[in-house]
Amino acid sequence: MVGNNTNNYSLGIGAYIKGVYPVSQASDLTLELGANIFFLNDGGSGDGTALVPIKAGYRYSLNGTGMGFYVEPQIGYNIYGVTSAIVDGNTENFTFHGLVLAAGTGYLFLIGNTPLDLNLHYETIIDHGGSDNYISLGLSFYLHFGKRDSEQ
Amino acid sequence: MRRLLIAFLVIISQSSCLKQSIADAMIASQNSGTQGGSSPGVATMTYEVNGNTVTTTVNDPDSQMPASYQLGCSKTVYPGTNSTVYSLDCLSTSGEMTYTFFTDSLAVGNYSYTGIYGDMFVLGYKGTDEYVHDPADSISFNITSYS
Repeated sequence: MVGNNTNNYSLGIGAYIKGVYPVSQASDLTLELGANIFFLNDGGSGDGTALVPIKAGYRYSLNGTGMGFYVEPQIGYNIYGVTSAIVDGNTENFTFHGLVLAAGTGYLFLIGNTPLDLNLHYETIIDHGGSDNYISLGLSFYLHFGKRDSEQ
Repeated sequence: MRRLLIAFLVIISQSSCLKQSIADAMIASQNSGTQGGSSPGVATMTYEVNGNTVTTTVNDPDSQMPASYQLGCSKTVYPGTNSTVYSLDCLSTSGEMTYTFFTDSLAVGNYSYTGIYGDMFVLGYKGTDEYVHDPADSISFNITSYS
């Protein structure tokens, strides 16, 4: 996590499932459901922040082919979020939802016949007048249920 | 396309970089409500005993002494156990009322106590004490919200 008061967070982990619908040779509409957990460096109590965002995005490949480098702005909603914080010496859990904004870039490529996506995202969740922000680095592979017109 | 992307990036940076974390914002909002950031607030408890209404009102309830308060809900350890419970207590001109929530994490919902768990004092009214006693007796509280 990045931003104010995040020095006590260690690296987090996350996973997502993403649907991609091609709208042109160079671009796709995306729908992504993810889950991310960021643990506090507090001796392993398990406290931290968990987020479950769902986002819609527009992925645009810079070379116009649908592969290679791309940029992807996303907007969505945080279905569930919870953060642990120490209040008056006691741990309290704060639940929240919030607007999700994300911007990412990545590289789509093939290893053999396996399509892979190496990506870097910045994401912010805004709620209650504050925001939780994080940078994620990910590698994912795709299951195809159809092909672009150019690939047929 | 490029301009839209740049505008989107600016919106994200402006929306996030200058803000405190969500937890800090919620704590600040919580504290402003309890430390006089706005009005000190008023707490009111109203109930009926055999058709007679009992109302207790406390101004600035958060300024009550922790060890002796007229109306409040405190987290404590149930005597003789290591279990954490919440105790809702009210002192009125006609007596007192108390209810123990047997939970270590109070949440919105219904909490019920029946006589099969044993005698539990719940109410004193004009010198007469009332208990949940008979197995058919019960008392319940429905928490609709809290802060």
